[in-house]
Amino acid sequence: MAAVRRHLIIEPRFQTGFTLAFVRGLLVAVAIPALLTFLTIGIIAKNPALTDAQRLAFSSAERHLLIIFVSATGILGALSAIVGLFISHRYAGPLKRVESWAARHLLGEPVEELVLRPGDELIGMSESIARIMKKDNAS
Amino acid sequence: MNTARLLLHPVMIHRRSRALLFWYAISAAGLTAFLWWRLDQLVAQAGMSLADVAAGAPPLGKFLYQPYMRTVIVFFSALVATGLTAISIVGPIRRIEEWLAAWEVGLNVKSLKVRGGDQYETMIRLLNELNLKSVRARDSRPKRPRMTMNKPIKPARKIQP
Repeated sequence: MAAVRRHLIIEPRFQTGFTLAFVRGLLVAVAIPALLTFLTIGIIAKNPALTDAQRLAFSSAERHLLIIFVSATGILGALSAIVGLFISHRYAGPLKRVESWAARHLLGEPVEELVLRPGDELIGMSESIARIMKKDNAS
Repeated sequence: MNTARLLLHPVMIHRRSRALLFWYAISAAGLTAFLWWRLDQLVAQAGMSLADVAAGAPPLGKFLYQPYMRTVIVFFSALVATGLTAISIVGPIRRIEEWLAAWEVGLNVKSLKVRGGDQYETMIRLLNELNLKSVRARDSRPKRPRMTMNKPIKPARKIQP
């Protein structure tokens, strides 16, 4: 667990915020249609042609669906948290490298050219920064 | 948080936003489809047909029961969820990239602001400091003499007494 944490969590604050935003989005995406589904079931059950036994069956089905919804949302939320953590890890590495490079540049320390690995996230941003700083140093 | 930013957030212009939309839409559609399928099963077990019950329901119930309506609800909820997530994850990257592009072409850029919920506060602060340092360095350089295209000024003619 400690090894996983060491490798997967590079920037705890950034990655927590990132993952929470990802999970919050999933909860919104799932909750709106589910709430409207329950609303629809409630309205459908108001059909005047239904007998008391049929209404009872409907409310029992609604309770059953609520349990399914809560469990499925929990599973999807946990899955999203794992996926979000992995995605945030892909951003956190380049972000940390760019931030430490910028901090050293600001302190006036000698810094090598800012280069990220091909396929890294934020590569467009880092290339822009490198070009600007190169131009600044040349002039 | 500004409501307009949430609803009008351009979710389709960044590949990460599109991936988010896909993930959310798949999750919402899967769960909604499962809930309706299970309800259909439970109602059938009680000896009823869900379509028949819905046909006799009040107008709002009939309207929400339509398959296309359920599809629209799923799509729009995924869109809102993607906007909400992209505001804090994808939006700042896009703003930083646009700001850097403006700086690169030599425009006088204002300092980049951290919006509520942004995930790149440290990065934005460092970039603002880099920009400030660059502007100060540029302003403190000795200025070259200005080159003009004007003709040299002739000395004034002496006035004859």
